[in-house]
Amino acid sequence: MYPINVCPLNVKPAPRWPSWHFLFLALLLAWFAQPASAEDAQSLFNEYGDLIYQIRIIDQISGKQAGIGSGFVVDGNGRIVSNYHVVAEILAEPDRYRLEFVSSNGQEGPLTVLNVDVPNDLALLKMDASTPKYLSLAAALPEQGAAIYSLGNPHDLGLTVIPGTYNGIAARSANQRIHFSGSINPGMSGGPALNSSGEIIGVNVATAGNQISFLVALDKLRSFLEEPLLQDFSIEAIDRLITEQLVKSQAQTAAHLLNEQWPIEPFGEVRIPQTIAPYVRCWGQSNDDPDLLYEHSVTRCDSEERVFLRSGFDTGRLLYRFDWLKTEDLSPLQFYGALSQLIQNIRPDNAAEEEDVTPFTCHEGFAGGREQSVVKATFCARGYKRFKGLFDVLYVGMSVHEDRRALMSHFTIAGVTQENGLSFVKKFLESIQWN
Amino acid sequence: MELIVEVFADGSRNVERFRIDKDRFTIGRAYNCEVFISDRTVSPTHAEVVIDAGVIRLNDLDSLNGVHRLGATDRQKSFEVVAGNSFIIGRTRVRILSVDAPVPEAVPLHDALNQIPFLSKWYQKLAVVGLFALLLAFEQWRTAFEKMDWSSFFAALFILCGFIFVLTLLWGFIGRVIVHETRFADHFVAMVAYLFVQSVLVLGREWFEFNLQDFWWSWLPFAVISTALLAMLLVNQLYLATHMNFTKRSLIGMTLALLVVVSLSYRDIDDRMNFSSNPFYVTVILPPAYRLAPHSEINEFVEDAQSIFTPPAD
Repeated sequence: MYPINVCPLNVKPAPRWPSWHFLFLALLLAWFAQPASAEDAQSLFNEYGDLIYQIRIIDQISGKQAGIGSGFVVDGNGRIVSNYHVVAEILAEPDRYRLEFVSSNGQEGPLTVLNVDVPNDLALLKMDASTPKYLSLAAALPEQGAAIYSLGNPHDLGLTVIPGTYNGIAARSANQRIHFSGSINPGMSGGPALNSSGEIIGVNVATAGNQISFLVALDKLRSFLEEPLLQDFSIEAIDRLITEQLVKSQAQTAAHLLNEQWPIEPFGEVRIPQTIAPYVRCWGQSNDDPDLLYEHSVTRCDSEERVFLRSGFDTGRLLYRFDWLKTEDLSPLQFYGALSQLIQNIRPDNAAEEEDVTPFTCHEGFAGGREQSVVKATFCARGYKRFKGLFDVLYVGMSVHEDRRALMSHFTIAGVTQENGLSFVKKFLESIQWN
Repeated sequence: MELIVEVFADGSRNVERFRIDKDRFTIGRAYNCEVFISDRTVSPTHAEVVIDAGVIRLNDLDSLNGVHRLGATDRQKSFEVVAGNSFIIGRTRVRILSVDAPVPEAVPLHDALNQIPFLSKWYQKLAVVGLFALLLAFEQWRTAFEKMDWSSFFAALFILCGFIFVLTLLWGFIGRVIVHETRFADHFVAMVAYLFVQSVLVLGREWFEFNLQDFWWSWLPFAVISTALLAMLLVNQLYLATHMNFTKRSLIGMTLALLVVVSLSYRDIDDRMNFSSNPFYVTVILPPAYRLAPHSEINEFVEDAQSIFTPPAD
């Protein structure tokens, strides 16, 4: 039954934005003609193929693989670099899984984790044997347009080399990923990207489909390899390390967000912050349905950043949106009915499961902004269970001081400390200006 | 033992009641019978009722068409009758009730309110309806309690009313109809009426919201009518549900109904309160009266929000 005040109204469904998504381990079906550098690819494959390993997550009970990725040798002591998201489940549940490598000639052996860098999605692993031959880091990134080669084991189909193009650091990426024009597929995560002399310039990490792929950049890998190694391999110690990394990474992002002056731009009849960081993309849309008796415009900005923590749990995302609503045809009661409906569609924008986070705790109230504007604000936070001190913060506010004009504001900022969450909501609320 | 004998003549449409305070009496078509049935299939002195030490027994007096238990195919010479049970004489249903422990009558829907002492007068009904309307109006135009979010409270109240309603419906239905062989019709009517009200409400509201311009009071008649009807149905259901015989079987039936409702509503509540779904669920009602709400400065609001950052328990 619907109580009288929350009947479903005849409201247009929320608009969809043209947005592309980074997909970890997503299916990709497009095949394209190979570029004209087949010889380079062939020689690289022949020369370095035996330095690329398949990384297998083995389920202890069934003895079968639960996940696969790739990795490559970086020194003579048997150290292998891969992605954090390849080994994440092992770190979370070491009793349930074990880690194995398989070489291109079928040799197998166990692996241990030496270190991880969660914000940059890197992991350092070790095999028991020494490795006289290894891949070395390039001195610098190549020129844009240079041919580069990504190696790995897509879909468990065997070692594969993918020629493609280096396209610089991806525009508007908070974590400075390399934009690689080539098809990286699931299973290739953690494999190397090499320049034509066979030196490492990045690590395969994500894809957006259609030949748009992303690599962890060379300098991130270099500083990761220089970091001190983990001494304590208990879950608590690893969680502490990851927490530290996340706190550091959010501190950098937050410092930028909180210290910079936000550009304030007109939207409807109010002024709001638009592109508050170089790495957010903003999209806008207005309704064109003549049957709807109110104007509805939306602007929505998204960092599209997802720091993978474990399957079903990601962090690091910043998303905010504003809805401008105005009516001449609806009575205040009707108009506020429509506003109520709109608020119900707000959800947290990053994924988390019950085992990862606490339930949301919310604070509600009426907050006065500039020029006598009043917003009914709801501000919620949920704490990370494994990474103590970090929270997902969620806010939604609806202006309530006018009968026929309203602004809904919303943001999700995932993985921040209490202090930064509070500062962000304060700055966010203060930046909205009514004319 | 004083008995009431009910004769359902003309296919149960009319009920004739005989109040008898004798240990032995006859039923038949003859004028000297204590219970007179005007039915050609009934013999002049058809049967007799004998009460011995609190046990009621029905004896067939060699009638032409005999005496049947309700639902039985064979005629029986003599059988025991429990107060509240029915049997068939000729083509007429007869029910025997004990005055000391009467089986309560299911009240027809239109009469239900009149049976309740504090609702028998028209102004009392109006007062109840008014109270509900007031609650609703209060929710929409409150100005006195802004600091606390009463809209959540009332949203919760309305949801609760819905649960209570469904509960009583099932309670009454399982308890009385299935377990206790009484009238299905009342509950059925109540259910249909309820669904009808809800659909009119939802459809009507949608229609008014978006098709009638500048019709600011569109909300009011719907609120008043629907709350009035809902309140009456609720009271009726409560009445039906509470005026039943509390036998072991009916209690089992009610417990069963309670479990069904609780488990159904639990899933619903759980969904709503779960961390992964919308945390704003109960705060979605925005009355325009909020523009009068006193507010705190942004600084104060943020200050007060410190408490939401509760670290997870180990």
